[in-house]
Amino acid sequence: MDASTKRSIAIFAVATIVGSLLIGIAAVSSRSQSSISGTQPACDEHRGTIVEVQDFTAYDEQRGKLPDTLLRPASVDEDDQGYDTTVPPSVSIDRIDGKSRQWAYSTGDGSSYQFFSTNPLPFNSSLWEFQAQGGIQLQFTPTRAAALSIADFRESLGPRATPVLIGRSEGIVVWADPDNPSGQRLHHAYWEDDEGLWSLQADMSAAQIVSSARIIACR
Amino acid sequence: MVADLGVRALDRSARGTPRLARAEGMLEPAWRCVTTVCSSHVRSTSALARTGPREAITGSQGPQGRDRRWAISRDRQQGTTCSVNLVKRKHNTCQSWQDYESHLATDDAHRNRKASKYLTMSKRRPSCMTDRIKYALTLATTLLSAGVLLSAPAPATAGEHAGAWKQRAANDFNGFKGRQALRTNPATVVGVGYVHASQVDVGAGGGDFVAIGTAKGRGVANCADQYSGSWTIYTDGILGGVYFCNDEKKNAYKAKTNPTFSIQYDYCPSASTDRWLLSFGGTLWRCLGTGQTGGHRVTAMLETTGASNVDRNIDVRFNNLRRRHQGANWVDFGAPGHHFSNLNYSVANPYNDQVDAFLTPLD
Repeated sequence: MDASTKRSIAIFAVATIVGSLLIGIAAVSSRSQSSISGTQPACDEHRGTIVEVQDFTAYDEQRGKLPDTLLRPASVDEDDQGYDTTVPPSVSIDRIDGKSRQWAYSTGDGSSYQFFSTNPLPFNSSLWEFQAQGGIQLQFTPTRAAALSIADFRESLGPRATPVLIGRSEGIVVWADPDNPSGQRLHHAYWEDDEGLWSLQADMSAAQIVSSARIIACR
Repeated sequence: MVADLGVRALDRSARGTPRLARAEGMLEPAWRCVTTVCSSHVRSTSALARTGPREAITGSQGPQGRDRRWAISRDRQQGTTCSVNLVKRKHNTCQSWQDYESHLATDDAHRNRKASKYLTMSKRRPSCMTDRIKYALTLATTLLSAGVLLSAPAPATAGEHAGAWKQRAANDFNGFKGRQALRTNPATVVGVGYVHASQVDVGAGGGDFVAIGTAKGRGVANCADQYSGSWTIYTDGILGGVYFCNDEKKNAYKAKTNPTFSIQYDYCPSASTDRWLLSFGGTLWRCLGTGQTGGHRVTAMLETTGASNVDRNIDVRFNNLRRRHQGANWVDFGAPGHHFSNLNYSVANPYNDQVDAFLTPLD
């Protein structure tokens, strides 16, 4: 066996070992990733602080929209059929964070909207009032009706979207801009499951809303 | 300072536009009709009269006395603030108080005397019952639903909105289009912004929205100040709770132009999937994704932004307005609900496809 043959064998051996190591590392990494989002759902109360960016757009720095109307806005359309207050059992929630459901409805595309608070609120309460009194809004949009995925949200929102684990989903939490003159800033949590996209919105801390979202996702 | 929240509407049976009506108001009026809009319901004048003691009718509630065309009555018994829309009857047509206002003498005392006298007269002579019933029937649906706007706290900021909207429990709006007639080119005032906006509120209340329109003056967020030139095309909205704003084309339109706009959920070529398509002047400016593919409200409105409390000379006419629901064809905008954060601004929909939003009287 001449020297060049020995050198070739050595190079082949080293390449094989290095390649095996790389494959092994990739496999471990893959399993690790899978274990985060697949086999070990995040269901526990979130402990510790969620670091969020502090930048936001104040209400008077927005062109904004017309103020939101009501907890239960009436239709202003002659041919609208009104609210379908039937929420599919698969997405129906009775209580969140000790607050009972006060109002809920579904729409034709399969989306559902549920509103929770400690005390019943008049239906002519504005959404501001509802949220200011600790109201929680839960939305579910079936995959077929969701215009964006969580990945889309993360891409669109950039650093305003903080990644968090919610159930089996790599969700996000957003410290929202105020959308009314009160300046109140809600936290939004978004996550996905096999059925669709979920959103939880309330005036609570990021850790609290993630914890509440995990209870829903793992129920 | 925002005077009040209120809802009112011109009688859609009125002939001609508000401006035409104002010209007709120069003739001798015969005052007959009164509609009263309270926080969550509509009352006739006689109902208001029966509510017992109330504060004096005043006609200058707004900043710098600019609210003078309105008579505001506070029902002490119920603690309810009522905006009293005074209208006249002429040639069997009810028109708005502003028409009356336009040819009154300018001193507030005279106006207040007129307002009080008018209310008194109406109480004694309920001779316009047909018109009242018509008003009640026409407005009942919209006002009952919109009445809550009246009970909402007045915005603390100087930003002011006046607009008309359609709302559906089905959350199935997926298109809104028309034209936006730009009728003024307001003088530059540093710190003040002027906006003509058309928007779709996506999903449920409190959710995202997408909008396209024209603006000038003070900028917001990533939309720059523009204190000279003409109106700029902009897009804005809230996605996932986060506000954004984009200048799409600066100095795009001058006053007296009537460009098209559309917001519709359709195929976006650049994204190769469906998105909210925001177009203006026949150009697609932005494809935007949101959580939902349908909206619960479409709105045409004016808006002022900034730290000034002075009412601004702004006047926009949305015309050829059409809306679309998921799985359906385009239809006329129809009879909308109205919103005012300042009663100095007027909103009228004289036709099913038109919404006029303007400061009254114009400077």
